[in-house]
Amino acid sequence: MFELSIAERHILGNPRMVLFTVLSVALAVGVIVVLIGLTEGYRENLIENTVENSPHVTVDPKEDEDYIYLYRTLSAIAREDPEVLAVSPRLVGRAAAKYKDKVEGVTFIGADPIQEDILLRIQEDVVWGDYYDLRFKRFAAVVGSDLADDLELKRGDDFRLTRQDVTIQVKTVGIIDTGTGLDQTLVYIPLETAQDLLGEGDVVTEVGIRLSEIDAAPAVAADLNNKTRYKAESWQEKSRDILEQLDTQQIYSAIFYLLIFIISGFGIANTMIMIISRRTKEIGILMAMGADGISIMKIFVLESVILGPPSALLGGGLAYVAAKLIGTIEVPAEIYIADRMTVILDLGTFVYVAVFAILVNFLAGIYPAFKASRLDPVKAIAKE
Amino acid sequence: MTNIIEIKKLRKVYGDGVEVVALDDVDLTIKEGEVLSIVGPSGSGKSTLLNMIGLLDTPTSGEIWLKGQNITRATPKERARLRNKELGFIFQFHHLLPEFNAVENVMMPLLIAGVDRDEARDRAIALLQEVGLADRLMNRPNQLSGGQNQRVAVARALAGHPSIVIGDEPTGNLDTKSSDMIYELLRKLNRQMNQTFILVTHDMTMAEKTDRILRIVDGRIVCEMRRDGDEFVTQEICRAE
Repeated sequence: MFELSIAERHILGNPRMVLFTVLSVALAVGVIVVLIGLTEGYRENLIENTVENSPHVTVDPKEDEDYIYLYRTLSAIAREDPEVLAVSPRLVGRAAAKYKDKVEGVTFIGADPIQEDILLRIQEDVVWGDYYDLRFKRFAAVVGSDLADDLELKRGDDFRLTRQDVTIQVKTVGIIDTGTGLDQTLVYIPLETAQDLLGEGDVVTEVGIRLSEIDAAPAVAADLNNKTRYKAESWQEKSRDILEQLDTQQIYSAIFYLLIFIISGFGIANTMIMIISRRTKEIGILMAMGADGISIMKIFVLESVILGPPSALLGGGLAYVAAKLIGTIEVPAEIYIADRMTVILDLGTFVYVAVFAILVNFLAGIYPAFKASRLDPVKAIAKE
Repeated sequence: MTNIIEIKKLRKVYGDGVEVVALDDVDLTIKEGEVLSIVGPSGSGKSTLLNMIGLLDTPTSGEIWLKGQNITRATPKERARLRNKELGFIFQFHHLLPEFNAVENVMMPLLIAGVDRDEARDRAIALLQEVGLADRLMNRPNQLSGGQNQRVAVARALAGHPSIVIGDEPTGNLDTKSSDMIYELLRKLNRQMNQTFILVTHDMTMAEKTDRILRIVDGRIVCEMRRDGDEFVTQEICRAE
């Protein structure tokens, strides 16, 4: 195919122009891959945070009640489902933590460490001490790292938890660092201690359930709603707003990516028009030698398309480097949902963007190539 | 000898607003194997006539017959095919593709015709040997002199075994020595292959070496001279001029 060899020579003969065209598309590819990676990372972080830091299914009290009284029966019913890995009755409430002259508002979670650890993987985030100590030490607490800093609480220190007129003294047996905003308010205590603090007897505020398969959550919740009068809700339902927001955001992002590609497409078209106007005479000669319009068009479309793959590869490389750099930047967990931004680069994204980049090169090449194919050979050859 | 080109009442009018008649009812018959030169002042229409014969341009009215086939209204694709199969072009400037070496440039019309690459290469090398460039096969146009490039262009024009070779001032940009060399080359090839040569030129010395001279003024053939041995026989109308 002589068209290909001409296209190839044209490209090799114009290294600088080609370099800039490749760079412009590579930048577009790189930016889009990184942005998609960031969005995906954010989405994954958010879902992971939602899924990991909250139960897959949460059972709340009956409509006209504040607490779950028969939580042991409820737990037994929930355990019947084979998808269920753990059932943790939890008592969650607000209290004040006092240490020396410092006071901070906290959220205490009273639960059985074994079930709670399966439910929310507490122990993974414990940076000092042992969450399982709460099984044997009734007046012990695992405290969020930022909260410990704010209270100037040292390892092993006793501090007081106060709720209305009840005050309980607990010992710090662990520090937990989840990397999220929860570290500022979180206090884990044994369930019985929480019940003492609440003063409502043997009750819990919710029952958390972990499943082997997170997608099964809506079905498990529906099943529980059928069997009991408690209100079971899946994590998908609880975070519906967030998920919907993410979907909307993806539409805006797609439009934005399209605009970036259109801009780079104009850059390519511009370069192609320049190349063609420089080669008008040559096009005339090729026509005189018997090349027809389709061949001329092929030459320049090929020229444009050939630049696609190297642009995509270079863009992929840029995206990889950028992703690594972004991954090293620390961001405050209160602002973002984790202390580092995650950029997820999967091959699928790259392939999708690369195919799009080649398509953009193709489309941007068509119009200039068409104009070239319609040149009048007499005028083209006579062109100065 | 058979007629290879027949032109009947050919007329070409250019015009946006002001009309310019470039060719005015031209009748012309060219025989196979003829070496013909067209002379005339600038803007007389000689290049227009050449472009019509070369199927690069279309007439406003009149007919062009090539090898007994009316090709006046051929489609662009058919014209491209005919240019590739039947015609070879030599321009004032060599117009070689700058990124390709001599062999590749000569191969180009064959590749356009869909000839196999190896076959095209053999043919190109043979032609370059013929025009005396056997030691310059791999040189690009910028590594060759004007005369050498023009010889590559001649080889390229002949690559596809065209029945007609068209030269628009083929030696116009060369010194006398190179000019003579190119002309001798064309003559030799004409004798070897019996191809028809149609040359537009300003150079009367070169025109006088051809078999037949046409003089065009204001889009009309005003004079025609035919070689008869070493002499030219002038037609009646030339004397009247």
